[in-house]
Amino acid sequence: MEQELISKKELLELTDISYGQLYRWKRKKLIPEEWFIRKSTFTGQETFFPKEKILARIEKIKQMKDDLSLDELASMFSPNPTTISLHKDDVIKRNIVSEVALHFYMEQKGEQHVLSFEQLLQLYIFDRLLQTGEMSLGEGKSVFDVFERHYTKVQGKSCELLVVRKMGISTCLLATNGSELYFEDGAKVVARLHVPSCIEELKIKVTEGMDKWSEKI
Amino acid sequence: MERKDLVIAGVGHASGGLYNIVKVSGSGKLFGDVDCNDLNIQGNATIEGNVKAEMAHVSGRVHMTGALRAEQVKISGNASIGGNIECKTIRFHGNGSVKGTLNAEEVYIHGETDIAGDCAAETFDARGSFTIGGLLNAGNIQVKLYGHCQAKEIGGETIEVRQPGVPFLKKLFFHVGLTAEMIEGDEIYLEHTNAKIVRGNKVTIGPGCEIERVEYQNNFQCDKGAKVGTHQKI
Repeated sequence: MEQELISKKELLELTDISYGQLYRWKRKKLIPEEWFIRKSTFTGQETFFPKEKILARIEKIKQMKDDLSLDELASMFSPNPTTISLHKDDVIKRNIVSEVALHFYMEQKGEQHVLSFEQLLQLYIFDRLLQTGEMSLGEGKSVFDVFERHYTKVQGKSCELLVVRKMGISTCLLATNGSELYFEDGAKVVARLHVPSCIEELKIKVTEGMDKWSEKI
Repeated sequence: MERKDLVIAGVGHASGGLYNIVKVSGSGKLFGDVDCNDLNIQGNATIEGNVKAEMAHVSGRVHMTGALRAEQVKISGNASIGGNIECKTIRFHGNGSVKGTLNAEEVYIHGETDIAGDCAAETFDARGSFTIGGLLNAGNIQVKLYGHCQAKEIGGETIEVRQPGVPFLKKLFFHVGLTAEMIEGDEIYLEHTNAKIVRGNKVTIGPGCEIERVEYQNNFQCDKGAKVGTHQKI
């Protein structure tokens, strides 16, 4: 799948930012290294970016940079989980995951009052798969297990969660980005989720809620 | 765990681990990762592993195979680092060679420095000679040319390259100037620079420059003693 690219010059024109800003954001790791794609053109080497991703990211940075410092923004965009933890009641109240998913998690893993970010991430991904109907409640255990046992190994890297199903039997796996995967006939990839973007969404959800929530108090 | 001091004053080997002060004034070899508050090398040391320290001061000669993470780094002697460096402030007064990338807030180069990968900093101040194999990305780049400086690409907010008075004989025998393929920034002032392309908002090209192409947004000035292939307002 070829993604549409945009050159650095076009990007700066389109988004109305300067070279300095772009380099500063790169330095602060607001824009991941792998988005800088070098290609040779007739004027020499040029840098290109994946168009949709970079435009969305810059839009987000521009929106949020007045409220948050660059370092705070960086931790929001980084693929590393934060240290935020939430009480289970807040998770439901703020609608981060559905009640069904949380209940199922508690059944599997035992009653817990405070959930760490890693646990929230598992729940969030599972909940998404539930909502889209790509996974049934019973299959959720495999998501939790694969995350619990292997997530530390791929943490910080760009990775994907795959759900594969064959003849009604499903399994899920974590794959680091760029690895090629081949399946036998009849096996179907039901869902493919990019974990870092899930982390980003979850972080935004969690921190956004924080503000609103503290305002209420 | 309590941290103890490690002092090698003669010839000695030691294993890595948690220390308070690591001081090598003779010839020493450390095996394994070192985590210490103060790393002080006045003699000759080889460290096979990564180093984490609050302060790292090298006035002798050191060879590290791994990465270096510290708050303050000062290299007055000779240092070669096999991995990446991550620190707040780094000063090169002697001879430094980094095989990986350098990430710091402030970088001061007074000696000779060779970085194979990228170099990122808020402030980059050089008065010696440097070679950067990748991108030099810094908010404020100040270069005083006293020797041969080279980077593949340079990007930042303010970029200023000046050549102070250099003795005639030195100019005759050594190349004094900056070479880069691409320079991009908001405000750029260049002297004695050789580049393929320079892009910026406000670009000033001083004497001794040889630049194939300049792209600017607001302002462009060019000294009589500079050679600029084409320039275009965007």
